[in-house]
Amino acid sequence: MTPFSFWARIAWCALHLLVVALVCLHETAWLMAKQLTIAPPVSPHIWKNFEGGSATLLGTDLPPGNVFRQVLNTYTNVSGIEVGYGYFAPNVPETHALIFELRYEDGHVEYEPPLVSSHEGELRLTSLVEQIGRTKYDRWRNELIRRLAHSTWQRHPAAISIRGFFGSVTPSTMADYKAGKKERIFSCQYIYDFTSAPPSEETPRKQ
Amino acid sequence: MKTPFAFLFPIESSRWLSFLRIGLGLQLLLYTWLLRSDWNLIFRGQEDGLLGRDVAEAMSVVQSPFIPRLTWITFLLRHLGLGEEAALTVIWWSLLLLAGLVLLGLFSRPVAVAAWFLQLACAKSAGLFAYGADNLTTIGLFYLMIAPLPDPWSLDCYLFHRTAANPRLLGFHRRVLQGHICLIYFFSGATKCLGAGWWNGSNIWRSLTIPPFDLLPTHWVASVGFLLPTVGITVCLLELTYPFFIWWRPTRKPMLFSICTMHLAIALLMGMLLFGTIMIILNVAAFWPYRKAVEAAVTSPVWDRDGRLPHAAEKIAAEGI
Repeated sequence: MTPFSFWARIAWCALHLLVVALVCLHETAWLMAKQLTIAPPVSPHIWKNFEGGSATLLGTDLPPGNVFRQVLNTYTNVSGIEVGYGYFAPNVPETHALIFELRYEDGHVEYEPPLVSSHEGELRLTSLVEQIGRTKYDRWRNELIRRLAHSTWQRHPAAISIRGFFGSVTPSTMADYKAGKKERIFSCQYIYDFTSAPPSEETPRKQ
Repeated sequence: MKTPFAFLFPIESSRWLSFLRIGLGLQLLLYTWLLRSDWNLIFRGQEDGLLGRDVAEAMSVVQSPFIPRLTWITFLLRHLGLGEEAALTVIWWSLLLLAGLVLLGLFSRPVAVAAWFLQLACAKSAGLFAYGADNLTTIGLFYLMIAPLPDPWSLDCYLFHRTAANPRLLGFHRRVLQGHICLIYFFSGATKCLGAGWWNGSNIWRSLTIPPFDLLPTHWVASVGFLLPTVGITVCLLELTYPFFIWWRPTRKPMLFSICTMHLAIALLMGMLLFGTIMIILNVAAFWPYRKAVEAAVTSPVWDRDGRLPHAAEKIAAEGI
C-alpha cells in the first residue's frame, strides 16, 4: 500500500464514522429540542443550535440540487448510514391503524385493513402506517391512503364505495389490563370517502 | 504502548470476514424467503402494488438521483421484453442466487457488489415499508463489498487458489465495523435512557403487546409484569455501556453474549427475525475474539516504537498492506 492509500483509508474511516455520529447526534438533538425526553429541561435553543449545527454539517440546509448535499446524500444512502438508530426510543411511539369499510350494491358492508400475507409483510405494513400517522402533510397522507384504498378495491371489485378510517390506537396499560380493561381504543382522526372507480377523488374529513 | 496507527491497523485473521460473508448470505436468503409471498405486492410499480414503488423512489430521487432503485433494473428488463411482473420475479430469483453465491464465496467481490446493489435498490424502492433491518443489512453489505475479499473459507480460495488479504488491512476494516457498531449502541442506548418508558417497564409492555409484535399471549406478559422495569433498564444499560465493556477483554465475551441474547429475544418474541439476525451477525463479525492469524507479528518493532506517529505509519504502509 502506498502512503497515499494508507492516509486515504484513515481519512475515509474518520469521515465515515464522523457522519455516522453526526446523523445520530442530529436525531438526538431533535428529540431534546422538542422536549420529548425526560432529560432536565435545558433551554431548547441550545439543542436547536446543536441540531442546526449538525444539519449544516450534513448539508440538509442546502438547496436540494447542491452538489455537496447530493454527494453526501448519495454516500450516506448507499452505505446505509442516512438514519440514526433510535429504535423504539426514547419511547415506543403511538400506534396507528387504517381500516376500510367496503359498501356493496346489495347494501352489505365489510371491514378490512390493508392486507399482506406474511408476518414480515405485516412488519413492513406497520412501518408504512406509522409513517402515515406521523406525517404533518395532509396531501401526502391523502395520497398514501388513496393508494392503499385502490389496492383494497382491486381485491374487491364489486364494492361500490370505500370509506377509510385512519386513527391512533391506544393499547391498554399493564395496570388497565390487570384490571380487566383489555381492549385497545381506536380514536379516528381522518375519514376518507372513495366513490366509484377509479378511486382518485377522495373526500378527507378530519374528525 | 500501541500508537493510533497500530490500533487502526491491528493484525487480524480473516475469520471475521468469513463470518460476515456467510452471515450476510444467510441474511439475504432469509430476506428473500420471508418476503416471497408479498414480493410483488410491495415492489410493484405505480398503482399496481399495495402502494406502488414510485412513491418511495420519488422520495429517494429527491435525496439524490444516484441512489439505486428497482426501476433502473425493470427498465432494462423491459427492453429485453419482460413485463413488470416477470421483471420482479427475475429480481427475486437474482437476489436469491446472489445470496447463495455470497454464502459460498464464489466470485466474492463482484457478487458482493451485485448483492449490495440489489438489496439497496429493493430497500430504497420500498422505502416506506422499510425498517431497521433493511438499513443494517445495507450497512453489512457495504462493509462486505469494500472488505479485502476473498476470505480463506470462500470457494474462490479453494477453486482459484487466491490468497487472503494482508492481516493489517483485514484489521483496519474490522476496526471500522467495530467503531460503527459502538456508535449504533451508544446512541441507541442514550436515546432509550431519555425515555421514561424504559425505566418503568411500560415500553417493554408496549413492545410485546402491540400488533404485529404481540407474538406472546398478553396474559403471559402481564404475569411477569414485575420483571418488565428490570428488563427495560437492562436493555438501556446494556446498549449504553456496550462501547465501553466490549473493548475490555474480561467483559468482551459476556457483553457479546448478553447483546446477542437480547437480539435473539427480539427476533423470537417480537417476530423481528431479520432485525435480530442482522444484529447478531454484525456483532459476532465485529467483536468475536477470533484467534489472531499472525501472533508473532504483534511483537514486531512497529508496535514497540515510542510513539512517533509518522514513523509508525510509514512502517505499516511500507509493509505493503
